[in-house]
Amino acid sequence: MPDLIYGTTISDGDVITVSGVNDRLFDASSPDTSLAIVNGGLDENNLDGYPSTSPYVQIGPDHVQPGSLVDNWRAAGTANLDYIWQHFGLTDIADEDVGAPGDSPVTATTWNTYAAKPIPGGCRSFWLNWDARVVIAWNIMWTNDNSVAEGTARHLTRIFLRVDSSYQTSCRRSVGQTTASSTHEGYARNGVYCGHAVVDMTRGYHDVALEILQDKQVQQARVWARSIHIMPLKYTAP
Amino acid sequence: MAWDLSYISDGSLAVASLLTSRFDNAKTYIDDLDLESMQRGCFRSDHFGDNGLLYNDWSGGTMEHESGDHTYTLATFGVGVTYTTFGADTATRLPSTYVGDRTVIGHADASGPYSGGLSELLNSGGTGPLGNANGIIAGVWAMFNCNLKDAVDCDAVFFCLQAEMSNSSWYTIERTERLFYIDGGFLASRASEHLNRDISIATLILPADITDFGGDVATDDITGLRACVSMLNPVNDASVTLNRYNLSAISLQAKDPA
Repeated sequence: MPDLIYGTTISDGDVITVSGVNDRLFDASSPDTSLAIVNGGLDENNLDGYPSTSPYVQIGPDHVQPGSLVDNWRAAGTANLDYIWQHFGLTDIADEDVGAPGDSPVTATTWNTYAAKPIPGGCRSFWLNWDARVVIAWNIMWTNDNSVAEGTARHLTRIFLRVDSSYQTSCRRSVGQTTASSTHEGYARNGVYCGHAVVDMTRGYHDVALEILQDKQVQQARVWARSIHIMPLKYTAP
Repeated sequence: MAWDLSYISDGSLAVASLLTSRFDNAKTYIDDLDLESMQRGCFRSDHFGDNGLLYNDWSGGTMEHESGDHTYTLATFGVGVTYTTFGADTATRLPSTYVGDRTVIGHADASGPYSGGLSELLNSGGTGPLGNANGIIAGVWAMFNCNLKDAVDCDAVFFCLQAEMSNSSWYTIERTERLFYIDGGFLASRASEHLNRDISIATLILPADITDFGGDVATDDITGLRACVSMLNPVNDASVTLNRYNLSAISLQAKDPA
């Protein structure tokens, strides 16, 4: 809506009609020609200096309701969580995987068939009130009691990020052998993953989770401290 | 300014000009609204456009490599992966040469399957989000994660983020330099073993970084962001193998109100 332009003129010497005054005060059929413009008709054209002066008015946080442009949800946990391979119902994860050691599994389709477990303290469901570019950041520590080095078979405990119904393929990390003391793999007694993902989401309910999946050859895995932080920034992808 | 209306006094001759001036007074106020005109907390999400705190073409997004080893060898990259100096910069915009002591992650000369391409963002070759060309971006939020699969024949592996200034030179953001060191070094005898360590970097690139790079905030801008890798004291068949990575950048339209 443009600047307010009165629809009637009043000049000295005129006989002022009632409608001439009333139409300036309120004209519902043409609100930008009357003071009725204040009833929801104001926009950037009414800002001081617009558009010749930039920035014309800087809208600061005092004038913005919380949750209008950015929001956040968090979850965390410190209780130890133990998993054994039977939790995952796998026959033998190694058999399906033809990738190079440590680079596993190969395809997202295969991954989705496994019964990966969401990790309490690393999950969050939420209502997103507007389309957003969402920053997801997490921190997780985990380990296992695997005494076998990586080879052609899998001996890994994997952590990955699920956003709604799909896994973020670049957000996967694994821990292999942990019990040796003189090897690279033995040096890595645990996994520490301070990861991030940036995902565009639409308005609605969403579900984000860190999940764990361990190979049959790994007898037991343990998740230590973990936390996840979800921060949507209002944004609609073009 | 708040609206301050002078009333027509009782007994005045209500000529048209008196009436008109009152209406014009209201119009002037309505057409020049400033912060004092607005109630605190009056704006909610519906009042803002699609971009919110982000900014159009510089929203950045993510470059990622989804899976697969990519290896950087001393033989191929030469001095380009030999770490020598804290915060060393890389002089050229083109990734085809590795001037300096580190190279961009995702370089085409790295061996192995590679889906992600160069770990570069924001670098369209035009104006950048931060600096002279754009006065409303407060900072660029940068995040990087990389799976350090393994290294051989070196003492440590270094990572950093670099920012390009005014479409010319790349500068290391020194506070983003990370190293991974293993007791005894990365021995050749352990070449088949796998560390699978995660490297994480997060920072906010501010106009002050332009000054740190030797530029002028009034005339220079940040026009690119990328991630680099390097090895300390590489020998013989030194190499570093990386797997998944993701690099994200978000330009924040969030300056302090005047």
